Amino acid sequence: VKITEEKMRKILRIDLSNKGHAYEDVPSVYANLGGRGLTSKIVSVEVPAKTDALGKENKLVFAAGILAGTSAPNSGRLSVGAKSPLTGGIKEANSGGSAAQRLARLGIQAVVVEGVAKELSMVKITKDGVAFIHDEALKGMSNYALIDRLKAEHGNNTAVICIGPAGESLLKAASVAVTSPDFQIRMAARGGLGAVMGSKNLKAVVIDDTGATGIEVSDAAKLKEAASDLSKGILTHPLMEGLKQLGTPLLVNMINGAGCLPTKNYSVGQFEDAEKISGEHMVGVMATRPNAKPIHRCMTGCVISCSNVYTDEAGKEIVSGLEYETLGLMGSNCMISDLDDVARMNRLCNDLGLDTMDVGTAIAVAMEAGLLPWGDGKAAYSLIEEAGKGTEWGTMIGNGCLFTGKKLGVTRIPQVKGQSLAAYDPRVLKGTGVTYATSPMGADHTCGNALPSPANPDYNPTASTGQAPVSAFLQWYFAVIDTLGVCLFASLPLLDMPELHKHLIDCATAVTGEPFDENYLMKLGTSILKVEKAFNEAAGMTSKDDRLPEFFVKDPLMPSGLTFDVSEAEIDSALQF
Amino acid sequence: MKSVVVSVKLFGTLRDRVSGGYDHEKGMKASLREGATIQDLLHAIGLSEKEAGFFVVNGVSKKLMDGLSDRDEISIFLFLAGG
Repeated sequence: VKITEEKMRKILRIDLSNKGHAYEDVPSVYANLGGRGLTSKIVSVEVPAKTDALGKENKLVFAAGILAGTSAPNSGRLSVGAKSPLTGGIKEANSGGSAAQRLARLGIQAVVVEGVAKELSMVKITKDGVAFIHDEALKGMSNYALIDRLKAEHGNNTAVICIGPAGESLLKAASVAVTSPDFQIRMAARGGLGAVMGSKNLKAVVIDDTGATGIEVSDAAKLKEAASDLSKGILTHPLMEGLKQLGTPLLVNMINGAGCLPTKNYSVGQFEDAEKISGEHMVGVMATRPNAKPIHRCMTGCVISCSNVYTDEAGKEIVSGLEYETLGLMGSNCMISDLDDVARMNRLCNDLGLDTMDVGTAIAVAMEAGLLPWGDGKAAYSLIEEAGKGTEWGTMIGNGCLFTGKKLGVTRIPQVKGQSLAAYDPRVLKGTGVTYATSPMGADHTCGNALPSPANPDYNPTASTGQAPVSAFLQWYFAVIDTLGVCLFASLPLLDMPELHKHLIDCATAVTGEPFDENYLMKLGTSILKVEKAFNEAAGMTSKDDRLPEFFVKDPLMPSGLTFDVSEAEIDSALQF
Repeated sequence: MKSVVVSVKLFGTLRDRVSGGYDHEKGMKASLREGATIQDLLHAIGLSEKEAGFFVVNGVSKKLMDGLSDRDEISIFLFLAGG
């Protein structure tokens, strides 16, 4: 079935410099793309690679996935793209929440934000078009208060995309907040895209899909069947029950058991107090606390519910979405074993609009320098608070781990291309290490985390060879998942159950009307990585930027005694598609 | 026939699946025939390979069909997922 022209999804261009906007038909160069594939393509075509990431030539792109707004499971991820001020390369940061689904229902595949507003501005997108709103009171507002205010002013049928004081201050670890259907904060956290939004004087985007006609797909019957088969298949995977009950914090004890939980700024792979920050312990704590929710959805149509709402002893909410990466990088890696301390640090980062991963890593680096004691959650909280005050220490910590390490003279800075690693030590998980090294995004576990799986018993994560092909496969696979707009967790069962790929491809065919074949996923994924790599090369990056810091190669990780010993030749072979 | 005794620690929702309760501070002991594998241990304590997917023995990651020795300490986890 051919989709009628008025129902074809559009690209909405917003020019902040002159308060203009225009709806464009999707040009052929951007056809049949969504999410990361679309943000990366638009950035590569329209943003000069060597431009200042915080200058007026950079563009900020919000894209819904190809499957957004449909019944395909967990398909409401939002991709935020731009040139990154943190890495100097191309960037896509990805978030749950309701924004992508509302954009899709409004018939918008992507919003391209251009230019710089003369004063701090807000943009509201409705079925009738775009309104530019100037409200002096929003200046300097933190995310929780800002979202409460915008929800009260614009109603429940909205999604808010916004930045806190960190983004306004152009800090390089500033994140972009995106609201869930119940107005919890999700984060497109990585790569400093909050600073790009701040550089455009754009405080918030409100998306109101009231009265939207919804999306038209090419073959509704085929979509219904494929989406249903996909959901059923995903739910049969044994991983799902653990994710639902414990969420991503279930990883704390596992990764600690595997000896690769970052501890004391990646100096050891096990934390003696891991149990205290584990998912098992967290669920026990939440059972005693009023209003805590161990099971929570960040998007409509989620079949997993891996999120949570963590409260204090009195039942007051501290943070929603207390996740493994935060527990690893603000917990064990800083030797902080008090779950409430980590939750409060997470809330503060959400409020200021900062990436918990880069800031957590920066705190550990500052602890190594002796600026604050190991394990001191209260001191760590105070240091993050400085980022909201514009002080020297606050500017340091809010600019992330590389900036912090350089300022304090620390040589062990766990980053690639300026972005901090995730909470998996690459000396044990060497395929993940190749992903950290080679991903065009900088060190990023969501681009290809090579964990052992019973479905793939022959894969040895600690072997010094054979890691590049595994990383390459995962990198193109997750590039596609981010392009379809599917949640990473819903996509993990497909790695173990290749028979489900057919249903995923059928969903894409049913939505777009393009008869994709079984090579669709690989062709699309590798083409996205090529576009991203070419942008980074044009920006000046070389294979020297595809390296882990020297200490991972030279210093053995205890208790295993392993080093990252994948050869440079193998690393360089990973993304040669 | 000789038997081997191993110490077992359980993680995730596996803690709620074992009959007779499970105290994580103490862990639990299991007695197995000589040459038993991790799969044999799972069955002996009432778990299946569909529930448990990741095993660490004496600090080293092991696979389902790997053997166990007397006085081994094994941690049994749910399936791994990238987070």
